Amino acid sequence: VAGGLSVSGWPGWYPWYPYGSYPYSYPATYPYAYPAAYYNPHAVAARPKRAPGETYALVVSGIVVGFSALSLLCGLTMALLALLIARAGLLDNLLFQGALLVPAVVALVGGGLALYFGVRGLLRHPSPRFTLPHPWLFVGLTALVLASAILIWHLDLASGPGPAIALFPLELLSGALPAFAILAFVSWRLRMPGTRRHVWMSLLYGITLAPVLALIFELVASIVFQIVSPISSTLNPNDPVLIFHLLIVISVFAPLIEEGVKPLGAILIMPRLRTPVSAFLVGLAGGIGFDMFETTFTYIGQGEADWIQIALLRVGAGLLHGLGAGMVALGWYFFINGKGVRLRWWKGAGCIAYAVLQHGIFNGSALLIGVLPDPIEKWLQQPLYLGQMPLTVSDLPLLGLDVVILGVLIFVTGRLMRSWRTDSSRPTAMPAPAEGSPASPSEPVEVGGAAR
Amino acid sequence: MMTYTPVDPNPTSPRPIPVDEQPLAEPTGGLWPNRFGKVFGVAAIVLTLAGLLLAGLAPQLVTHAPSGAPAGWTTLYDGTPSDSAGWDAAAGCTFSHSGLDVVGADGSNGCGYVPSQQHDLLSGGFQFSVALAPDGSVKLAQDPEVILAGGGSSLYVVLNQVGEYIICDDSCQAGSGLYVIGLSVAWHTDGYTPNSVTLRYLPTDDSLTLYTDGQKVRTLHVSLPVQPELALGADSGAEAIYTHATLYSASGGS
Repeated sequence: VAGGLSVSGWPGWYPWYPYGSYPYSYPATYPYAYPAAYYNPHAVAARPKRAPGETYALVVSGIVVGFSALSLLCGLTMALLALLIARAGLLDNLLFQGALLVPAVVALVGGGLALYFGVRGLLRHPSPRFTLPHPWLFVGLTALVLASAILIWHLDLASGPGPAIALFPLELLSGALPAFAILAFVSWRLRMPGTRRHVWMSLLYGITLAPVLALIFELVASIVFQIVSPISSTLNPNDPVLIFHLLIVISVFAPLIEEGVKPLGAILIMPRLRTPVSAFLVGLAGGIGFDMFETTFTYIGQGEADWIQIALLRVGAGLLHGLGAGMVALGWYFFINGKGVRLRWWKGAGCIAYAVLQHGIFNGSALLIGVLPDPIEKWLQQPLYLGQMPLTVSDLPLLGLDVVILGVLIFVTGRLMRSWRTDSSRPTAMPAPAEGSPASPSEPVEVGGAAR
Repeated sequence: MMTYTPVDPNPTSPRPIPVDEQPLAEPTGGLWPNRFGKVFGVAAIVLTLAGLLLAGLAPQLVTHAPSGAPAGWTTLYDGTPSDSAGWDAAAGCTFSHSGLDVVGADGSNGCGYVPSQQHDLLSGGFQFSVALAPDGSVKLAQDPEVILAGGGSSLYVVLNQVGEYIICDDSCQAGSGLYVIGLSVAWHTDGYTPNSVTLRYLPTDDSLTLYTDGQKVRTLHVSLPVQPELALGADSGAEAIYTHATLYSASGGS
């Protein structure tokens, strides 16, 4: 039906609009309106009740606006600091650029977008369906960036890579494009089950606030653990106590904290997320944002002229962080919205346990490679050359783990879609839109109740 | 205009699932799902191409170390450092076919270039380049050090494996005399790719320029020690293997 969706039981000619929302707004004052007091002295008493969740949505939007203002302020401060350091001639390297410019760019761009989404949320403007271009576009661009950067590395062997600031855009792209490829892949595989505001806000939270929270919590946990169980800071493969201590920090504390904070944006709006597929997608977006920040802020810059070697190894990090955050969000979906779902507590706990275990195994394997007996470690440290560019044999098991995680991601998203198709218990008042309908991604419509 | 505030028409009714949170009934085809997707995708392509262009042109945006002897300068040394070719076999200096292996220690003066101890080869201007072995082939951390000493004062240029450099004099303490610290992007940190360091001194403006891997890192105005002697060393507790050295001098052997 033009202008809406027809629903069984409703007259076909009558446009059916999503719950509580209409694709038009009333003028503030009608040309024929009388002052309310004239017309109805009990106007205040007769004021209609808000739809469920609307007040909560307003509160969340208010929080978003507050944090976005804080983010913009932090971004400006970081940019100013970067300028001062650049004037002192200390910014011509990727490490300092990563530490200063990445937070500045992320806080300014992320804060600006969050402010936009937050204000629109406060005004209860509806948000269209979240879409991204086909994942193959991002896969292609990732391959182009990495292959070109490898070629450039070879060409620059004798001359040096040039000023660090000229490498900065490519460095950011090498961190962001693989992450977008994963987000687009999951989004397309799940057939885009979320609003633009929800998914982007989760990603922006993951790229801004989540790393800050993770840094703080991990620092506190490390300090507390160091006080409880003091050790020296030098890695000694022959000291089992030290190895155990590091394993606890890297494989238990870090996964628990990071998997806890990454999907907080999704958990905050969980009462507004009505399907497990959308909860998974919104949670995954938080992990993708976290990965983008971690890759560009912490890791790539450490390589300096060899940054591309680190970027190659970080291609799969979005899988670890994305799937982990998606699984934790799914777990919370079962806890909060899963009433009526069979074994929901077990399912929720299982999802979260999987994310922590996956992260713990990934981190632990990276540590264990460094403390293996000498012959094995030497074998693992053998270089593998791409042209003249060295990688090491020890990179292969980590890349293998990425492939395993990709397999799990395909399996989980497949299960989610099968469950969605076969779930007869879900409310069916609103049918899924078909391709070409007003609710298809080719023509965004105002949806939700009223603004999601 | 006032935005319509949604109301619940029937608060007790079960809430249906909003359209936007349901998967589409049919998979979307094509590269772009909608106009936003197209704009986003085109922006990603444009940014990628711009980033690649900038990175590709980047080496042309910096000054590089001269590859040969400047006009009128003399090549004093060009080869693997060895004790038979003028390098001093002091404590901590080991010579092999692969080059000069120096282990640093407190108070060490490095392995000197003997001709520079006998004649003033450097104060008229010089360019000195060394190639290092890959970090992975060095037992300790590889922290190379170039020392210019004479007349009771010294000038040090020290680097480490992550590309940090310190240019300092005498006590080499922050806040006392010359002490400049920084980090170079032109430095291979993978452990398998060798690095190189070049120092170029021009007496006309007392400028000392540091190049790493052929790229200019920093120029400082320094007071060169009187009749400086050149030595190769390593930071205390660290090691460095020099596989090749080249010395050009403006004053030749005079």
